[in-house]
Amino acid sequence: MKLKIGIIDYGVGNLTSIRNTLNKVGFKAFISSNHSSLRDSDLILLPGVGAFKPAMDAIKEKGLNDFIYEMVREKTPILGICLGMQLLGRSSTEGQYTRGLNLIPEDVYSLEDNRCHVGWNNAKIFSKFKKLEIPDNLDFYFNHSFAFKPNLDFTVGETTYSGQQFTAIIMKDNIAGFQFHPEKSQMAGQILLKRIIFRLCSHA
Amino acid sequence: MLKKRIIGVITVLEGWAVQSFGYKKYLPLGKPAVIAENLDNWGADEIFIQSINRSKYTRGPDIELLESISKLSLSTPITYAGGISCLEDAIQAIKTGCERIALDNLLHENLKKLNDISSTIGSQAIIASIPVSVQNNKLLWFDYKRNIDKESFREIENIYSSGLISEIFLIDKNSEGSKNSFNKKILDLFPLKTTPLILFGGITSSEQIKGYLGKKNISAIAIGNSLNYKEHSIQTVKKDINHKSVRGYNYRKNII
Repeated sequence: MKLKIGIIDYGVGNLTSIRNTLNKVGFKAFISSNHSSLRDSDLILLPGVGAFKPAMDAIKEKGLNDFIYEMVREKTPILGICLGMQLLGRSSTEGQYTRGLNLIPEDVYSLEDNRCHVGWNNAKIFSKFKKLEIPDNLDFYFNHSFAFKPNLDFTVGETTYSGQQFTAIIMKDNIAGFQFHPEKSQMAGQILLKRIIFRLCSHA
Repeated sequence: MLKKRIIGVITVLEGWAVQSFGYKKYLPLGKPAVIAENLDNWGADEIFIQSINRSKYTRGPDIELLESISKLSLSTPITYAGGISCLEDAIQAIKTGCERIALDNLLHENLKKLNDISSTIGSQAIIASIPVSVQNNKLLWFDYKRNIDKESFREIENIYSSGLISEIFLIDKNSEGSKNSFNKKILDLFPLKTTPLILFGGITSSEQIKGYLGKKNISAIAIGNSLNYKEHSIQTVKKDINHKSVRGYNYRKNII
């Protein structure tokens, strides 16, 4: 039976792109902000594309923060993509200081000189993540200007842009996140997405 | 290392992909979705879809077009331009099927709305589309909706320095649709020297592409008409330019 992926609709984000990619690689994905619909998921996905504060405000307004905490308590795997990964953090200063979901107890910072990191860059995947059998240094599609610092307790992959290192992949228990967009990283992204979802769900 | 990109451009007029010549003359190419699917299969680094005339006739973004492309589940990043005039339009476009949007008319019309869009979807998702031409050794910024050329670039300088956008899609308006004709003077005269630029309009030869990619602030080369002439054109372009800063044409071999 196909794994059911609930994509959280918090008002912004490339929802359709993610849903279609997940369906293409063999999952049954749906988009919703309705708690009871989402509760039925094997994995909850927090999508990206957007700014931190409006996204966090929308999540709270829809009561999705409490819902996410409940899902974490019930050991439902959570996957964050781009902004979705940052929202899992403790806080961000994008726009203004805003508290995040604090599932990953680390802060999100602006890249140096407020630069935007847009395009294809390689991710160095740490050895503890090698079970996914993804070759090191593959290119993935990034589109962001904020990120977690590198070498955190939960960092399993890093990227360097203009001499600055940051966390590209996080993993903590049944929570994972990508700073890049695997759904838009062609074959490499699709394979990684598929493998991490299977891994998270098999540990749930 | 962040790679420089080769972007496939699809120009859409009244629902059809067209070959455009200086944004004045158009020849039909076919369904935009078919061309987008080809560019995805051929390994384009990004697909830039510009639906023209949407702002001029206040039609809003072409959601039907984005839906038709979204249904294909393409795994290449998509930027959409055309008819976005407010935050709701921008959110709807991204929700439907693109990762980034490009704005043109709004840069001339309403900076408050640009600010609203940027603070909600993030500056990384916004590209400023700037059609320019060189006349009497002066660089002019073309306002498509009002059909006028402007001498001042102060607005775009302020927009970039305020952090509202991430890149500029710099179009040589007169060379668009012609071979090897991007006017070199544009880069000399363009006032923003460190802003990441995507160059578009008349860039077709490998030598030309390689030359521009060698410049530090050029983040991408966008190619329209010439990609549609032959199969696997993106791989061919990448193979010909053989530039270390570009994602390789045979990158798939490294994955499995």
